[in-house]
Amino acid sequence: MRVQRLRLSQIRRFRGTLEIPDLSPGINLFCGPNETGKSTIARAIRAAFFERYRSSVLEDLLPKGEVPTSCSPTVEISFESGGQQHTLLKTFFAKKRCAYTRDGEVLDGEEAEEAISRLLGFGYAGKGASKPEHWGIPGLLWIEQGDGHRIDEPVESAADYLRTALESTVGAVASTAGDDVLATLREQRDQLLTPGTGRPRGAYQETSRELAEVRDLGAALDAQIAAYRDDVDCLTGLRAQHDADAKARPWEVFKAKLEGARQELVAAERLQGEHEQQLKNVSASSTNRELLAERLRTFSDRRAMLARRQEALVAAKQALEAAQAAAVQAEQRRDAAARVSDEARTRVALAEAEEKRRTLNERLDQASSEAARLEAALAKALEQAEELARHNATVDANRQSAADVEAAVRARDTLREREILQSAAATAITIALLPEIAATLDGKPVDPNSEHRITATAQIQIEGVGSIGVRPGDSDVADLARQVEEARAAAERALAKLGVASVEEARSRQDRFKQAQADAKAAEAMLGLTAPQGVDKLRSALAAATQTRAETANQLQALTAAPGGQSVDATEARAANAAAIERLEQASDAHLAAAKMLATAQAGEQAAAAEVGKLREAVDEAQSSGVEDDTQALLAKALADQEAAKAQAAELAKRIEQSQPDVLRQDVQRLQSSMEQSLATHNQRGNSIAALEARLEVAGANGIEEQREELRVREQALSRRLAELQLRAKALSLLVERLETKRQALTAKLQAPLQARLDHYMRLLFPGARLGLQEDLTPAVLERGVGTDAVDFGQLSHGAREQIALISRLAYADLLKEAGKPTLILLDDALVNTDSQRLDLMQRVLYDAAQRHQMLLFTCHPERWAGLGVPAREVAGFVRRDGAANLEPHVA
Amino acid sequence: MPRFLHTADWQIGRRYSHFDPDDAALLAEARTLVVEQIAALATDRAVDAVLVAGDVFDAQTVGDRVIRRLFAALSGFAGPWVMIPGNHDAALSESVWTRAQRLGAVPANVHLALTAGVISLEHCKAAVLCAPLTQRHTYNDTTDAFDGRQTPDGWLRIGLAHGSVEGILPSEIDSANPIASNRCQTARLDYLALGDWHGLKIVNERCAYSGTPEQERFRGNEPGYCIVVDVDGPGAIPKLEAVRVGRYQWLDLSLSVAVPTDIDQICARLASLAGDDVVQVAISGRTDLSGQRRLTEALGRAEAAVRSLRYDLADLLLLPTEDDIAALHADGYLAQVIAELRDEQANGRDAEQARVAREALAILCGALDTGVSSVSAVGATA
Repeated sequence: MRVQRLRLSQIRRFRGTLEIPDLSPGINLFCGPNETGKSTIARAIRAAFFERYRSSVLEDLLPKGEVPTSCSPTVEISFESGGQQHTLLKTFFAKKRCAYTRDGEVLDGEEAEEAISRLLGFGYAGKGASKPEHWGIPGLLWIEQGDGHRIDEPVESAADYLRTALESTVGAVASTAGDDVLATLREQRDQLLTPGTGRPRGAYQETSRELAEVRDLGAALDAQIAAYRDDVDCLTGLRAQHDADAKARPWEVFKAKLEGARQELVAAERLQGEHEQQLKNVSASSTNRELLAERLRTFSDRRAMLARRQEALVAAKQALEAAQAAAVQAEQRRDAAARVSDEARTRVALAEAEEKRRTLNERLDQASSEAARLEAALAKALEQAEELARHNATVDANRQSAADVEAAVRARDTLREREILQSAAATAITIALLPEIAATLDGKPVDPNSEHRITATAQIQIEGVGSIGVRPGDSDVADLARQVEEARAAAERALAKLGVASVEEARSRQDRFKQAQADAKAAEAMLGLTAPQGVDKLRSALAAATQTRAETANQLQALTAAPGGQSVDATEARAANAAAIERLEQASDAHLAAAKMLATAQAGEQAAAAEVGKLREAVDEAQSSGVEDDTQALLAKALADQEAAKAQAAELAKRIEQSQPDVLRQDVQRLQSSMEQSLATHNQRGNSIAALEARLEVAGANGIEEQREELRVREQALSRRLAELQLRAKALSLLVERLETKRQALTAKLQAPLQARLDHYMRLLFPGARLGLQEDLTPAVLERGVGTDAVDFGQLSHGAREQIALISRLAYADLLKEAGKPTLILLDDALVNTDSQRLDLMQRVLYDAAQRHQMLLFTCHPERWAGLGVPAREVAGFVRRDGAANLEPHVA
Repeated sequence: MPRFLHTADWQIGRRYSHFDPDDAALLAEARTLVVEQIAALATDRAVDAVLVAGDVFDAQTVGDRVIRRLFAALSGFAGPWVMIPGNHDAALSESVWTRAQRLGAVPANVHLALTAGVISLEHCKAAVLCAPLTQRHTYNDTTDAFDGRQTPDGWLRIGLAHGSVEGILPSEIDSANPIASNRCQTARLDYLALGDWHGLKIVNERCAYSGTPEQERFRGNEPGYCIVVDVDGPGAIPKLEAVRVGRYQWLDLSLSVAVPTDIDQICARLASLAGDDVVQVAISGRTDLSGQRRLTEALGRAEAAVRSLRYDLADLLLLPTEDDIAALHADGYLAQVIAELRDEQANGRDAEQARVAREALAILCGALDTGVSSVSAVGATA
């Protein structure tokens, strides 16, 4: 298809006419800034083909301010296709019209529209404006502004046209209804089976579940029915036994036997009673016998006791006499001991007095010698104290400050230094006068042969001669003299402070002070030896010693002298006294013990006498009354009774053994139990029958077998339905599987040429990369070669999608061209997201495609497309200002 | 001249599991309705008694309502009904009969012979010797006792039993208990009314099976009858008249399509079916799409006409012709799939695969040909 001429008027921006008369077969590049009408041209071409000329909803075509009643937007397109010349003229609104001329054949109105839609492969909207889903093949090849990256929807709406075209190319026979049938069957299959795993679902699953449920219910009912039948059989058996028992009455047999056993048991128990009585009798006689024997024993015991008591009485009397003798003796011994003790005590007192006197004499001697010693010490101490006081006085007299002494020494030394200096500086005057001549110096007589040194103006008077004035020449002499004076004054002051005339004197005073100090220290030490605690203490100690001596002397005088003047040893006396005391105590104890024993012996003798009296009385009583003989007779009788009872008991025991009462008792128990058991069993069976009857009644009323039959009806119906659904599911699965397999094979076949075209363009754009296709012929994944991951088309960048979508469209266009379909490619501001490097490649691609297809490319960036090898033409350059009226179709 | 109505095997409470539940309910109901027919017939023919030879009930535990309905259905005949239990409703310790008695459902004119014995019908001087079954399974001849039963002189001796007369019935009969074939002679019976065999069968001049009055299975051996028995007097040969009382006709049709015109015949046969027919049809052979369409339509019409219709087309191959396929606009791979399936339904690996292929073919043709609804191989197009 090749558009040769394009003319439009009264459309949007073009109130007048725009005519492009000379479109070239390859790329036509139109440029112009925004709002110059590039998109209007694209819109006009779409409107001419896609919109029904009668449509009343295309108001967007009207120039601004125009109304449909007075305006007639018109498009006229002349093109060549399939070797034929075509012209399409469409006018909307006021003068609505459609005319289509094909090699001289003229078609009008809807007929024209149908013809053109068949030629290009698109459809019309049923109502309203045409939408992308109607655009078919042009929708795929005519790219609207901003839609360059989309490919799925355009391919989908072009799918039928594409497939038809492609089938004619590859010669494969696709199925017209195939996809619809497949979709229908898949939907039907999916109603019965889950799409993924093919498990039953929906009605199929429900039926299967219901069937299982019904079967479970059936099994439960079968169990109930079986139980019911068992119950019926059980009832039959129970009734037979019950009736048999009711007739035979087995418990009555047990009852009769029980009666017999009971009577035998009563007889046996009576024998047992008698036996026990006899045994009691034996036991009673035995007790009686023992009592009587005991009583006889009492009598003989009492007699023996009397004899023993009499002996005891004799012994007691002897003991009493012995005790009386012992008591007398003990008293005598005690008195003797008392006397000895008194004596010893007296001797002790004597010995102690003597001892004290001796002690006092010793103390008196001690006190006297102490007093003497203290008197001597005191005298010496007083002397020493006096000496100490003398030394201390010397010390006090010679006390002076050592610093003051030093100061005086320094002052004297200073004075000497100054005098030496003065002397050195002074004017020496040597006087050598005749010895009779008296002379004075400064008024003082001088030796006629002497030498003087003056430091100040001096006057030498020589009697008779007159005077000579001498004045030292150096001014320092005066100064030195002054200094000497000062030093002398200071030396005198220091000596004055010390109160001495000279330094030597101060020094000797210092020596005396030190000597006295040492002497005082020595004297103090001596005094410390004599009276370590001071003289006063010494004096009081002396007083105390003197007093002690006086007191002791007094005490001595007070002591009486020992009688007879004999000396007694105190220790010996004390030991003798202690021994005497001990002996006295022993004698006293012995005396007390003897007295006690005497009392005891007296009591014992009295008690023994009483016992003997009492026993004798009892023995005499028994003999006189004859009780003992009676008791003897009774004992003999008791023996006889016991023997008789024993014999009877033995007899009874033998009879009891024969009748076996224990066994009889067991018999009674056993028979009683058997009878009761038998009756209970009978009654229980009766109860069981009643219970069973009741249960069967209830179960029967439920009609379980009828229910079972009904369930079977349902079960069969469900089984049949399940089988049907199963078959249907299998058949549908089979169909879907077969159809899909075939369809896939076909699709693969159809894809091959498209893939080849894609590969061609990919080589130009992405050398080494490969674009995979989906079943619906849209791009699937981009593989950029080894080492990189394949990327889904949808995940590519906007720019890459735009480029790949465009080459896909070009590939479709190639295939359509091969199939003899008209191809025209419109690009309205395409590849805006593509970088310049890639754009270069894309221009390669477009240039290549333009060898086969006519291409109209609109852009506001002509410089981007400079590499296309075609001039960019300004849209504005095609506008004619000749108005919109009288636009007639150019019919070739 | 005494006259009896002999019937048996009512099988009240029977359910029909092979049918659509609605049809099954109606067929079950028919069993009670036919008893009303029998009562009406008994009144109409003024019989002296109705003899029911066992299997009145189909099971021991049928619902109370079923029991009451049955006894209520007897009200159309006021004369005596003599019934014995059969193997389905044996007189066990607890049975459908004891329940009926407990319910108070048994009318006074119904004589239940729950134990072996004689029921005397004074008004017609007839003694009915009853041999009820009292165990779930009986293996001995319960009519043995008839030989020694004493009846008044000059009275008819009528036997009533349930079981299988030795040597004359196929081995597939219901109950195991045998009946001696010469029982009429040994027990000096004027007539022996038997139950158990579901078809009408005259055993000899004094002995017959009435069969079930309402058919309940496809195996046809003349069911649907009861017998009117006229006996002149003791020793006379009874006169037997079989009277049809059953409503439903059970038909088991096995049809085959060998040549296209067979379709016409089958359609005609299907068109001839009547409203009280219970039908099962199996069609085998091969047909093209148009034949299948016609068959489907005929089956649909028949189904609307009859009580119940079940069909089985599993053995009918669907062989679409080239024209069929063209008419379906099945081109490209659809045509390939149709051809494959057509081939597989005849030459599949196994029966199952062939069946699936046939079903798939039917579904596919149905999906393509929106004019004809998809027809499954089996089932009812209810």
